[in-house]
Amino acid sequence: MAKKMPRRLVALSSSAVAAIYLAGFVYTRGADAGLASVATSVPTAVSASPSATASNGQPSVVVSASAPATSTPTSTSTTTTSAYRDGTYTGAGTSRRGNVDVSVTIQSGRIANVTISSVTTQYPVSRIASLPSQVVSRQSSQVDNISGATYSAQAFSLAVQAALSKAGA
Amino acid sequence: MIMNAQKSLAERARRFIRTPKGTLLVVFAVLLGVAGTATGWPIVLPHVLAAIVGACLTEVALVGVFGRRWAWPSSALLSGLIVAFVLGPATAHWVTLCVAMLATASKHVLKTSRGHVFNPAALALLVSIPLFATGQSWWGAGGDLAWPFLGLMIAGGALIVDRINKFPLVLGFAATYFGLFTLVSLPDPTAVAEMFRAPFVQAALFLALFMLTDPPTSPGRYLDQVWVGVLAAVTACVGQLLGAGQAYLLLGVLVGNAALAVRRMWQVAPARRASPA
Repeated sequence: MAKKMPRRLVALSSSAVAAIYLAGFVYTRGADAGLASVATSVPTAVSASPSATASNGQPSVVVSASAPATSTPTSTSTTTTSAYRDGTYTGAGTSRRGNVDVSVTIQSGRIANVTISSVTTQYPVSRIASLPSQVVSRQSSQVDNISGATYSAQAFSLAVQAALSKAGA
Repeated sequence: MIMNAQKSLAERARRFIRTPKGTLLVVFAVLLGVAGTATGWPIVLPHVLAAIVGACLTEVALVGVFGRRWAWPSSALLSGLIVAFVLGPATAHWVTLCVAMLATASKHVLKTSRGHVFNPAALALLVSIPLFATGQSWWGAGGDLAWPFLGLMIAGGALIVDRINKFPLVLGFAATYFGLFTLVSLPDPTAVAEMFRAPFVQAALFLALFMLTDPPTSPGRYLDQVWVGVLAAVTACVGQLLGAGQAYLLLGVLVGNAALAVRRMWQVAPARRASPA
């Protein structure tokens, strides 16, 4: 076993690593904010692959949101919900950092429930826990970006789009 | 008689805590206490128990199968905790159990005369992505928690890294990892902006402090520590940039493990040839 690294050298090297990290952090600060604003408008270039079934081995329900019985649409979304057929539809969205699977329940032509059935992005699922309720309240796949979970939010939105496209077919 | 037995047990526990594994167990217990409280024990407790039970029972079973001497399964316990910390706490319990079992099993299967080749938890977690479609949240690294938790994790990690004398490995990894991402950010800051932020920073540091430094799968010599740390970081960065998704950190540590195993075999082979028959 090698002799222990002198503590002074450890402190000096750790400071150098911290400086490198801070340089990257500060330099990308604006880019992080830019990412958030760009992602607010949901990209259509990223592929959304509809999946026929729920993912295997995953918790069947991770996060879900249901519409209250008396809810009314609050958004003037370009997506009209009246064309949707009742039923439960699954959708998968992909992003650079992994996939999100959702199931969307349509009742009386409206989005009644959205459930995140699996998340394979590296972000904790809690980061996008607020998104299903946004879809239900807005009756649209367009959701706010989550700072720090940009790609999960993108994948979620694409998954909802994929499910809604099935419901509207 | 009972008093003597209690004293002996307490003494053994004290001695165990002073070992690197014991220290790591204490550090993990602290991290679990804080991260578990923040995440919610009703979700975390069954998840952690499934991982520990899966890892430890497999260890006990394999010790019996291979006829090895019984020992307290402390390594399996630590592997189980790492599996639990990395897998999302909402993962189906049977999946967590299976991944932890895979971790311990890999230790007994993929081994050389110097011990196991790959970090057991890292290998099982990587295999679990295509096998069980697992999601890895690294919640045990506190990606969702406030910055003081990061300080706590670094302090605990530094304690154990100092005990096992792996600072060059960790610092080599961290300097290369953040250095490469900083270089990549110069032409395109948006490509890697998140790598400097939660939860990616926490995940990378957890990996460097607790997984890359696993004594059987990490080098002892300082020069070896540096190149293995650099190789792991380069692999992780390249993997991330090429779209390896959540697997990029695990790929880094496993490529480092594999390179070290090859290097050790390469060192042993000429020595065997040189020795008289």
